[in-house]
Amino acid sequence: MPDVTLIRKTYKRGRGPQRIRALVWVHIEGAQAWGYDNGTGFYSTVAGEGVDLQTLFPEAVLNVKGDVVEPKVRATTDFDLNGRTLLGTYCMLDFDNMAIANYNVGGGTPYKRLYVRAYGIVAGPGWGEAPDADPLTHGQFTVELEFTSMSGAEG
Amino acid sequence: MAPTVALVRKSLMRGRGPQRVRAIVSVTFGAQQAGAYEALKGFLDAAGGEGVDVQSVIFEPIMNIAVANAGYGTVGSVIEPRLSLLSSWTGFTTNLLGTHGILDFFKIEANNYAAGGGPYKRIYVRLYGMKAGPLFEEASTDAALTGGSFQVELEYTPCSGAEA
Repeated sequence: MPDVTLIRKTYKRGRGPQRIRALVWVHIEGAQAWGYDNGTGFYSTVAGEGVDLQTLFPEAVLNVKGDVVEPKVRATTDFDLNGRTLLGTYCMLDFDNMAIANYNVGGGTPYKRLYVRAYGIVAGPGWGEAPDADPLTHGQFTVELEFTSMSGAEG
Repeated sequence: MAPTVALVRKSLMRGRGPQRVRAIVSVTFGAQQAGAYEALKGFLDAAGGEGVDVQSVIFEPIMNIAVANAGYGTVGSVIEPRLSLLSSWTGFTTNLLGTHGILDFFKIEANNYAAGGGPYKRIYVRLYGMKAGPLFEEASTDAALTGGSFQVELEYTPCSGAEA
């Protein structure tokens, strides 16, 4: 089970019907198989599969918009991302996407995979992404998700 | 003189729980409203001081719980563009290379009442960019900041329940 906590989930009026906003706190702990995959971002169990929030959002959803709650600029030491190819003290977190499988089709399991990536300065100089890192033992960030519940429920 | 802070908009934000308020605040530094910048803290009211105090525009008591702990914390965000032209700051030697830096909301500290030096609501916004190396670093401390501005959006829960 990934270490994810639902901080708040509320009905968001004014952007169309059944629009919901949720704040999710993702906290990385050494007891889990956390890591970072260059190309997809932070993951909780399997490289490339992000952080699964299915347990927090069991309802079928669509049209997800995401945003990392500030501060987005974070010390690389916050995530064990130091000592690798990111240069300097800081990196910048960015919501990349959320992959959704609402139903159990073809023997698969429903999921809502959150992908957050870290960028910074790399040799060149250039603007680049953090390299693979496994394991990650600590760190945390908060994302704000906005989505439409297909059921019409307010969540 | 502290930098000028102006309330651009403050309105009840429905749908984020009861009495959730959103405020957009502009912060402007000028020759008569000088401020400072301190690495690890951000933009300050004055050299050696604290974050920019917005008490004059958000004077009501607000909940001040870290967002990681509950759903009532104050969420802050720099209104884009967050990529700031370094030359737009007057009297500020950032020691950042290139033409731009990144503004980032760091935190707010609120003391609602007179006890303990209050009341105040201090916002801390920091500036980052590239330094020699190259390295991704924060702007350097500078005690003379006489021009420049940014806007932040704050979302908070007032203790009174008033819509503000």
